Amino acid sequence: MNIFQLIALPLLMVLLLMSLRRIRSGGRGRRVALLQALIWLSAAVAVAIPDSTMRAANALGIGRGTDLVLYLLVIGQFIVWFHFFQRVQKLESEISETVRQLAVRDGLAIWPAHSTHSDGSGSVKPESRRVRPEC
Amino acid sequence: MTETSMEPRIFVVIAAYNEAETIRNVVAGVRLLYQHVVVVNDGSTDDTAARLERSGAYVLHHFLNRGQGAALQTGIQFALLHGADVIVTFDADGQHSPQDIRSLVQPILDGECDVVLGSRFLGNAQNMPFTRRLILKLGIIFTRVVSGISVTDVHNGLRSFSRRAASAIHINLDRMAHASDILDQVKSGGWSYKEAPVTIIYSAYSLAKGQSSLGALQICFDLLMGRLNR
Repeated sequence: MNIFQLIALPLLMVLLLMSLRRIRSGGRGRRVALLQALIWLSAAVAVAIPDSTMRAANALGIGRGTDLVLYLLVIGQFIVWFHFFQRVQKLESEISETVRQLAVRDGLAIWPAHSTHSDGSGSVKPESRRVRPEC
Repeated sequence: MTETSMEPRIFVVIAAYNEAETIRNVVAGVRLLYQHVVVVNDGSTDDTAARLERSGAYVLHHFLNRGQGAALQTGIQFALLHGADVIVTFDADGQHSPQDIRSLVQPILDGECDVVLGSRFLGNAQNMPFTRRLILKLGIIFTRVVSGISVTDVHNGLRSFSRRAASAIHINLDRMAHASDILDQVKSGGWSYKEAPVTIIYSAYSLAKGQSSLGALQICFDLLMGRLNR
């Protein structure tokens, strides 16, 4: 065993055990923990058996083990990037909607909604004197 | 101005972010012609809110800056709750002329279409920088390819909606890509539309406040990524 294996393998085992504990405890984050466990396990195998990546690469028609690892890393990065981009977009949208509803609510407190429109939308309250903005 | 219950209710919606210098005059100019003006103060950090007091407009406040698209959607929602029959969006920086609103409203009142889009290329663009003209022309091609809609001015804040179109269209892109988002939804929703000539006045103030030419790239990115999320 070389120095890198002596350092990396115990570390990966600890990370794997932490992920397994999270999977067993249930609740939210189980799927992420499962994915993490798979990654730590794959990394541990690659470190413990160095030519395992080469054999896997050859089986897939790729020349070198490091190339396979690189390709997987690039694909993984894009998956993660798109996932977080979508989450951020969703959050931005929710923030805007929250800010909007507060603004409209405060506005309606001063200028109540108009009485019924022909399509049935709007409030049924009689038109308030405050509907027209003050000059 | 008085309004009977039979007259169509026309609302002009203005999104304002740090427009203390112009907002009062802009609102006053519109209110000379139209009674119902909704201004959405989009988290301004200058005196915009103070300048809007006693301006005669309905004033809504975003406590966080969310972008022009988000602010317009807020104003549109409020206008719909107030029984708007026609909703016009109008810029806060003094680039638009209130006299143009009529040509955006009349086709909807006449039942010709549900959406009217202002076009500076059919009208008059005073002092338009060359780079802005070039980018807008390129934008026409982009919009035709991506959204499948053919218009002469792809980024004009002066537009109008019938009540039913305004109810159906929801601006999802908060920032400057909202203009492209609206065109996208006009096309995908099958809304009848036409263009109307309008005047755009480029002043030193509005040019300084306006987006950089690189902003066009951001708009393209936001529109395409927004579509991925639909």
